[in-house]
Amino acid sequence: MQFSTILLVDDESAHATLVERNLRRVGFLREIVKLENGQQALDWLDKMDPANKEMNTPFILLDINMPVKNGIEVLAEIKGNKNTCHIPVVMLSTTDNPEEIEQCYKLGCNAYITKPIMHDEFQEKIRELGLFMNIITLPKYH
Amino acid sequence: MQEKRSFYLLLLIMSIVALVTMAVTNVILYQVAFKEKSQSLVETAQSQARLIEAMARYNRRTNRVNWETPVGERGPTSLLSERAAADTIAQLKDAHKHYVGFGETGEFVLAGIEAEKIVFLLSHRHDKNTEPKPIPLYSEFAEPMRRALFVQSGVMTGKDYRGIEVLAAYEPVDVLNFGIVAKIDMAEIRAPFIRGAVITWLISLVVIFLGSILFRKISNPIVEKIRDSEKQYRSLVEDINEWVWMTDEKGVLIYSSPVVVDLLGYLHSEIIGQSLIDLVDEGTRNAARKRLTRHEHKSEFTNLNAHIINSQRELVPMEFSASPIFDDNGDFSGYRGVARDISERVKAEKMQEEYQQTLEQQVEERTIDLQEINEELKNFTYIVSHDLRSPLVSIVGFSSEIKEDIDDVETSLSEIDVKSDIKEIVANTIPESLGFINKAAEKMEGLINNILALSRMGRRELIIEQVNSVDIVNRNLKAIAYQLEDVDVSLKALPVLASDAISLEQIFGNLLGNAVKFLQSEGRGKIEIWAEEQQDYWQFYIRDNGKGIAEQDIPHIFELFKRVGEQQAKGDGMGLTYVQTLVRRLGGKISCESTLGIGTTFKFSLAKRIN
Repeated sequence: MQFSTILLVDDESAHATLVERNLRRVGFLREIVKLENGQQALDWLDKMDPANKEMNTPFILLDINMPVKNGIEVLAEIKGNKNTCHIPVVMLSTTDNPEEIEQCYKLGCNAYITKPIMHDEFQEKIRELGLFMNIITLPKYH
Repeated sequence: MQEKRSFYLLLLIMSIVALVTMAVTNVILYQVAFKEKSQSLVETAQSQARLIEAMARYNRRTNRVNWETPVGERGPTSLLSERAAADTIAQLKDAHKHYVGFGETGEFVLAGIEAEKIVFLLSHRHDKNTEPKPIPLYSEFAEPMRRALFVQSGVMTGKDYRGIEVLAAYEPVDVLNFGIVAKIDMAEIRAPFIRGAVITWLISLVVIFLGSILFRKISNPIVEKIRDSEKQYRSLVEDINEWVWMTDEKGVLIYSSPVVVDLLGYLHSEIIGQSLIDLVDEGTRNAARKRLTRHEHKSEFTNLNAHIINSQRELVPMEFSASPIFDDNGDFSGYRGVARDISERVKAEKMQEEYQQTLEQQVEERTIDLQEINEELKNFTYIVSHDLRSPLVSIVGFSSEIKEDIDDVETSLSEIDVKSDIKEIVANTIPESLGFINKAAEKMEGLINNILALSRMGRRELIIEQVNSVDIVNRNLKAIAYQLEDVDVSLKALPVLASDAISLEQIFGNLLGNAVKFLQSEGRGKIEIWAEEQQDYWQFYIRDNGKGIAEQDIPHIFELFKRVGEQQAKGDGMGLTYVQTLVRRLGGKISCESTLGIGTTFKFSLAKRIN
């Protein structure tokens, strides 16, 4: 399964840029859509053509601390909606609060990644993420 | 006053008894004496009469009647010959002349009747005349003689010829038709008794007087003693600030100590006869009635509270204790008890309650404050973990980006001709700057992680269980065994205690780690670990003979990120801050004593009971 699009939702444009550059560096060539808050992400998903859902399935990288609608709320809405629950969501956050991590997994996130400060670690995480995206299979709605 | 009157009354009774007894004795004695006197008078009179009769009879035999004497002149003894009678009289007179009489006033009187008159034949003791004057036959005088002349015999008291009261025995003298009376003045009989009575009365009065003085002298101390003891008991009952009371079987007050005036405002006279039940507040009056009167409740009670209506119709909270009284037959006859005013206590309790409420409210407010602070702390953690990390990610990320870009630039520059100092900048200066940025960021990450760890540690839930501190110490020593080759370690009296094992592990780990880390480079190291039991906590000691800490540094060793002394050993300046936080969470305190070059002792307590 290949993803046509990566939704990169992060109000911190610097982080988004770092993630984007590193994804490109590990060889991701498809579309990367950068959004600044959770609401924009939900709006984007709304406009998605449900009929062509197999083709359009995006991969979401979701920051937690965002204005308007934060990552946890967005995650809850995506995973709570049968039209979108199949979309893989990876939390990509600066926060490493264990309670928050647990909460995200409970809400159904597919992975939780703390953005490492050290750049080589950061690059490694993004590389692994790219690999992860290539082998992932879509979960069925349950 | 009362006692004085009783004393005098007693004295009076005593005197009366004594006097009456004496009077009675006197009377009896007098009667006996009187009887004896009467007897002896009778005997005397009779014997005299018989003697005179014998004399007369004798004279009659030896004398003839002088028939020449006309009958009318023959005298009262007409039956005898005048001569014989005269002889007899003459003999009697002669005898009488030598006889004064008996006693002081006793005498014989001999008389006959002549012409309706009593004619006395002998001289009278109480009359100067040798020939006493005759007295009329019927008069108030000479009653005994009259009876004798009327041929009666006996004894009597009556007036004699002088009209004086006498005891007299009277006897007729046959043959001569005389009457004889042996008499004595009543005054004479009475005199000794009157005198005796007067004397004995006087003596007894003196004796009674002396006796009473003695009596007073002896009884006074006793009375005084009794009075004192009574006073003591009375004051005990009356001076204490408790109301002492007694009710009858109907609950009516029959005794009340005077303190009731102060307590309830009732006069003593008002309260006596008043029902205690009626004084109890209506709400509990029925219970009080049952308590004080009903038969099944005849038991002691203590510290029962009731509101009592005072003279101002206000309610006074009082506390009652009492026990029932039973009469000699074992029948319930009332209650006897004490009561005290507990308004002050009630007020104090109320105040305390209010205070308690205020306190609780304050605690609640403080708790809310604390919760807010705690919440802020959580937010702080969030700020640290997110807001501080986030820019770091960018700084490090982009400096790495620059590094890669500059690598590209360097490669490109090597192919073209540029100034050598630009090459130098690209090749060395910029990467060096980026290296410093990275290093600083790395350090900052370390600090952030430590702060996070510390704040999370403060929120970790403690698991209190029985923990053997020896095991924990040994485990920690084992972990640093490779550093302990030249160190003597001694453990002493380490207890099993209720605490959180993970915290203890970290506390000992840090302190033992420090002890080893700061040992002197020369000589054998020495680490001693022991504990002492106190009432509420265990006191632990870890002593080393290491480098020690400078005196001015000791107050700062527990501060966050603080590292004191020469920075030879590795460390993040977090260890002791951790330890202090953990010890405090376990209800203890930590302190440090140290001398440079001698060694350091860390002393910390762990509460036996953790809230």
